[in-house]
Amino acid sequence: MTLTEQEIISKCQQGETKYYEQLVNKYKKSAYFYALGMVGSAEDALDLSQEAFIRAYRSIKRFKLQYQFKNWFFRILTNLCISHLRKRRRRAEVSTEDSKGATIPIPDDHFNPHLLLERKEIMRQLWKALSELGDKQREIILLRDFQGLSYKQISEILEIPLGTVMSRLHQARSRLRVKMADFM
Amino acid sequence: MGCEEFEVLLNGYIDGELKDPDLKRVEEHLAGCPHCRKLVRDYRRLKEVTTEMRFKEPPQDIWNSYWQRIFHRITRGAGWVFFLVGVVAVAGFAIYEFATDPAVEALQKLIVFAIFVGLGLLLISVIWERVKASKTDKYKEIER
Ligand SMILES: [Zn+2]
Repeated sequence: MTLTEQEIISKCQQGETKYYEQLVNKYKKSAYFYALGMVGSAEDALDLSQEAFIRAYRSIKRFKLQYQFKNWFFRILTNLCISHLRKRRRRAEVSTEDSKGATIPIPDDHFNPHLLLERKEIMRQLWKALSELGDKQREIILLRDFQGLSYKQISEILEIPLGTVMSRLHQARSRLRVKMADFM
Repeated sequence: MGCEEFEVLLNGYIDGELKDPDLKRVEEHLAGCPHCRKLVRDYRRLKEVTTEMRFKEPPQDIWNSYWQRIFHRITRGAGWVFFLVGVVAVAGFAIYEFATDPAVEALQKLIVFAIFVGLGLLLISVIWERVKASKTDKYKEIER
């Protein structure tokens, strides 16, 4: 028996946890790979994507059936990733200063090219360029080009107007274009 | 309208997200503007590369145990709720029995009550801290 997504969600809302597995299986890969693109670490991506599924489940009663689960779930996931990045940056700021206040460079293993399936020069450069973008710029590139979502979906996930989707995408891509100039 | 103002629309154009009248305006502008045609080519090329990017698959066990890990944490949460409800019920019952026991002196009752009230307040403050922490920690804090 195959249930529609809405039927699955209303089962979950009635407390039937086992049905949630179908939703998790449907979105786990895109959740994991999206988080990986956002935070650049396989371990963190696994934790964050699972945490997002847990948080979504805990507030599933508040989910309104006229929305898309995927958009709602990605909103939770993307916000988790952004706050994770902020915390990581704050930690790095604290740990990079020695007692005299001088900055010590710390080895940063995030956004390692080994995470890439194909390590052609152009992909390495893209991965590096993406890591250097602002979080919100990387986020929108990943949602659009990596996840293949429409502007409408992105505007629902990020809760921004369609016009802002287009202008933010434009900012992100023009920065990427500069960073990728050698390959264009 | 100069090229700069078209640039934002060009992204909508290569994504196939433009509708008339914007689409028509962009097409007309492109027909007469080699600079923007070059931009369109660049952005298309860039998009090809970003769309092609793939990450390595994690080991298969990760996918196999993915749901189990989530399931355990969801049900563990429910377990805690039941546990706490049970503890509170038992404690409430014990206090009631104790308070209504005529063999115990009023002073003793008062002392024991003070201890329980203190514990209760501590528990509430801990829970309150947790709630506050989870609120700031959660996706809600992110202003867009
Ligand atoms: Zn032009």
